[in-house]
Parts: sequence; structure tokens; C-alpha cells
Amino acid sequence: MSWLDWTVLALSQLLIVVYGVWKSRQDRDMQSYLRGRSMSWFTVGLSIMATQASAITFLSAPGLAYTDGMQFVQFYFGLPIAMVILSAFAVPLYYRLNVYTAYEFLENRFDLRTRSLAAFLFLTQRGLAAGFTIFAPSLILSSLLGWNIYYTNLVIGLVVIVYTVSGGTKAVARTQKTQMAIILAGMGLAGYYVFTSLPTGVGMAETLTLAGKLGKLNAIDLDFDLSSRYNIWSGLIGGTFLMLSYFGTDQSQVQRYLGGQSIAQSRMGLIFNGLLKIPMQFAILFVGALVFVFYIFQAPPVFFNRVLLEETRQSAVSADLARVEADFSTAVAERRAAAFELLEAGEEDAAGLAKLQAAQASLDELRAEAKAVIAQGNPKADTNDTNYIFLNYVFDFLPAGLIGLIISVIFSASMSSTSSELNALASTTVVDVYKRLIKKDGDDAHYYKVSRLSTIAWGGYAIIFAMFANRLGTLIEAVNILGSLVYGTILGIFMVAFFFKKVGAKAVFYSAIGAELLILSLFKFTDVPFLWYNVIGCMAVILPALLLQRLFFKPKVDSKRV
Amino acid sequence: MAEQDLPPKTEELVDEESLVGMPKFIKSWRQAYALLLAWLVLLVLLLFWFSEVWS
Repeated sequence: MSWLDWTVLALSQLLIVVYGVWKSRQDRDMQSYLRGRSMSWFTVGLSIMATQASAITFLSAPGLAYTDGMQFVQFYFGLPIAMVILSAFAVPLYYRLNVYTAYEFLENRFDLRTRSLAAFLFLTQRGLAAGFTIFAPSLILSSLLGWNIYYTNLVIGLVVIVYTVSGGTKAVARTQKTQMAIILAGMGLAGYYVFTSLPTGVGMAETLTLAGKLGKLNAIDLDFDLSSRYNIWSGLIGGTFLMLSYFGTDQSQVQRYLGGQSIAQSRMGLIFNGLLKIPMQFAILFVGALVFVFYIFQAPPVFFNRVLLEETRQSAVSADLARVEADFSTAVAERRAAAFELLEAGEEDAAGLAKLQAAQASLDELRAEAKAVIAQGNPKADTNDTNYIFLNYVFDFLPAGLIGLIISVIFSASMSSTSSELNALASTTVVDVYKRLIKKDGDDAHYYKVSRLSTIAWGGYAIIFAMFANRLGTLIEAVNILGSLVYGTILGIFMVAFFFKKVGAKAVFYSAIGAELLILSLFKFTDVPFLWYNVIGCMAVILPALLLQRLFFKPKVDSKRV
Repeated sequence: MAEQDLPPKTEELVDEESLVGMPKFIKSWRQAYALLLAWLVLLVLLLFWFSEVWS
């Protein structure tokens, strides 16, 4: 990186942190620290979006479009539906009960045991995820830029701790507003730059033709196929359940909209998110499609993780890799020639189109072959290079200054998600565990102090997890999937609480335990795609709870008012 | 002023019908939700058209 990149990165990050800390410098009580409750809809909406979009979102999505096309956008189809349901039912309820965390509501509706179960599932899942949110971008940046991964983890983690501890919920939300501005500006500029770097004569229509004919603009898949991860049905049904669970029961999101000035502002923040999320994801994926077209005319590497590629070049299988790379170069040249021919003849030229598609199929085969060779050279190597595709383009082709801005985008995305997670972990620890189970009679100043200490402790835990994540191997995958393993169950508990007033605490508690065991069994013994875990887990709580209540427990006469 | 971060006004805080900050043409929350769902349908149709035209 040049001095200009370093300057852009340092100044933008400094600006973000100083702004967040300065704006929330006067908030020195538990209410302000854990709840905020002064944010406009605009701040709430951006904060919600920034929390959901981690660094991996901005690294993975363009890479996914490059490899598999734009089907990933369907993952977000359930989001607007979830925003409507939460805005209509959950937000007024949380405000009416004046809760700090979503789990407080469960004690009001059921009992302490159910509240503690949900809080425990959240702390377990989100605690591990916070470390991964720091680790994932650090791993990629350190491998591509040669940075020390431990220092990268430490810098990201410490900066987040500093502003989250100093200003709590308000600092998190205000910082996220600036971070989103940096993220959108960086991705917009990168997309514009890719487009303007295409050869003369390749405009938007030609770009769309090439990307479309090679299967990269397939945003909608209407086939109902349980084995396919992204189609319109899994997006609308599975996605709605996942988003309901994530936005309605995950404290890292609930805390964002409970920070609104009023019910109206919180609801508008959710609706703002519902309006913009799909177009934003589409735009990010489209950057990936542009990068794909760019690499038709500019030779791409056979494998985008250049460190692993270089290691394999030095290993015992170097001769095999050299052969694949030579074939790949030939295939790239053939695809480029076929692309020019098709553009010249027009997209109606069936023979030209078949030639281009055959060249692409040949390239895909060679990429798969290269991955097999890399795995042969190092069986422990991660041969999924999706997260490296966009950054390879950034480092090889973007001008000085813009590279720094893109690194700043990654830092901002990582920090914005991590800060929400630490803030939510601290709230749940203090409100649902410490204040409820350990020290009930403390004053506001005491809980404020414990909240800050709890943020530091969770931040330290996240950094330590990130430091050791390299050695955890396949556990990383488990951490990634962990969210979907518990979200369905938690959502089921909340759905019963909201919509089935006759079901009591015991029925829902035992159903939740059964549902969690069912989901873990599905994960262990079947290939059901993870989006469906949310639907199955939720239903596996609701239906048995209704049955148990009817068969074994007395009718719930005196239900607590919710 | 709705876009500024301000302390809450007590009467607005828990008023479930309040539309403060909403565009004037939206008269109720039901209407706002209907518009958001219509927006989703429009986006899905546009993306479907986009996929069909360019593939």
C-alpha cells in the first residue's frame, strides 16, 4: 500500500472513532449506555444495516457474483416481510414493556427459566460470532498484504472497544452512520472504476450481455429445490424466518431499534432497512458481475488466494499446477477472443454464444482442477477463494487512494458489526444475568460501571477468540453455522410468546429443548440447507408447545399482560 | 427535524399511531406496510425481468 492509501485509511478511521466518541461524550448513565433512545429513524436504519453487513458481506458478495452469479440476492427477500411483522407486533410490545433486552420480555410472558435459556443461547452464539467478525477480515487482509494477523486483530478489536466502552449504544449508532457512508462511497467508487476500466467499445449493454450469457445475472431461481441454497422460495420462506429471528430476537439488532426516539422512529428505521437492503445487496453483487466481465479482458489468476497459490507453486505438486496454469492461460485467451467475436456478431449469433459458453465451461473446469491440485499439495488448505476475488482486483487494478478507501470499507464493516455485538453482549450480560440473578439492588452508577466492564470483557474475549481462530480449523465453519442452529428455536419461543397466549412456560421450555436437539440432529445427520433450519426450528417449538399445553398442562388462565 | 438525534418526547415515545417523520401522503402504519410489501413485489418482478432479459 502507498502512503496515500495509508493516509486515507488512517484519517477515515480516526474521523469515524473521534466523531462517535465526541457525539456521545455526555452520556454517562445506564439508560443512555445500553438503550440510547434518542436516535432518529435515519440513524436507526443505518445502524441496523451496518450491524448486519459485516466485512465478509463486502468481500464475499462480489466474489459470489463472480463464481455463481447473483442468486444470493434472494437470501434477502424475506427481509421486508420481517420488517413489517416486527414493526407491527414486536416494536410496540418492547416499548410498552420498556425493556432493555428482548429476553426480558420472555420472563414477563413465561418465566425466568425461558428468559435465561434464550439469553444463554444468544450469549453463546453471539460471543463466538464476535470473535469471528474480527478474525475473518483480518485473515484475508493479513494474507494479502502480509500484515501480522495478531496485530490486525488487536487493532480492530481495541478500536472497537474504545468507542463502544466510551459511548455505548449511542456511540455505536453514530459511528455506524459514518461507517456506512464510507462503505457506500467506497463500493460505489470501486464499481464505477471497474466499469470505466473495461475495454473501449464495451459499454453497459455489452457488459450485461457478457455477464448474462455466462450465467452471472441470474438473480431469480423459481425452482423449488430443497438442495439449492438460494432460490426464491428459500429466500421468501426461509429468509423471512431467518430475518424475523435475527431482527426480532437477536439483541445486537433489537438494541439498535430500541435506541429510537419513539415507536414511530424505530419503526421507520426498520422500514428504511426494508426499502434499501435488497437494492444495496444487488448493487454489491453487481460490482462482482462487473469484476467478472473485467477479467474476461484481463487475465485472472487460476486461484485468487495468492498466498496459497504461491505456496503450491513451491510445493511437490508444482509441476501439476504449472500445467493447469498454462492450460488456464490458453482458455482465458480463447474466452476473450470468443467474447469479442460475440460482441461483434451480436448476441443472436448462436454459434458465437456456444463458443463463449464452452470457453467459460473449460475455464471453470480448470479452476476446479487447480483447486484439486492445491488440496493435494496441502490437504488442510481452504480451497474456497470467493472472499479473495474482489480484493485481488482491488490490489491489482485500483489506483492509490482508492485501495486505502476499500481497506477502510473493510475495517468499517468489521468494526460496525463488532461494536453492535459487544454492546448487545454487554446488555444481555448486565440486564439478563448480572442485574437479574447476581445483584438486584445496585444503583444506576453501579450498573453503568458494570456495563462498561462487561463491554471490555466481551471485547477481550472476542480478540482472544480471533487470535486463536487460526488454530481452530473446522470449528470456524461450525461458528458460522451456529447462528442458524439456534435462531429457529429462539424465534419459536418468541412466536409462541407473541401469538399463542394460551401456551405457558413449561410447554414452551420443553418444546424449545426438543427443537434444539432436532436441529442439532439435522445438522449432524442430514444435508438440509441452513436457511431451512430457521423454519423447522421455529415450527418444532410452536407445534409441540401447543400440543403439550393441551395434553399435559393446565389451561393458562391468568396470563401475564403483554 | 425528524432526522436529527434528539431526546424523546414522552407523549410520542409509546404512541403506536404516531406518524411523526413519515411522508405526508402516508396516513397510517397499515398503508406504510402495504407500500413496503408492494416495493418487495416490484423488486422481485424487476429482478425476474432483469434475469430473463440478460440471460
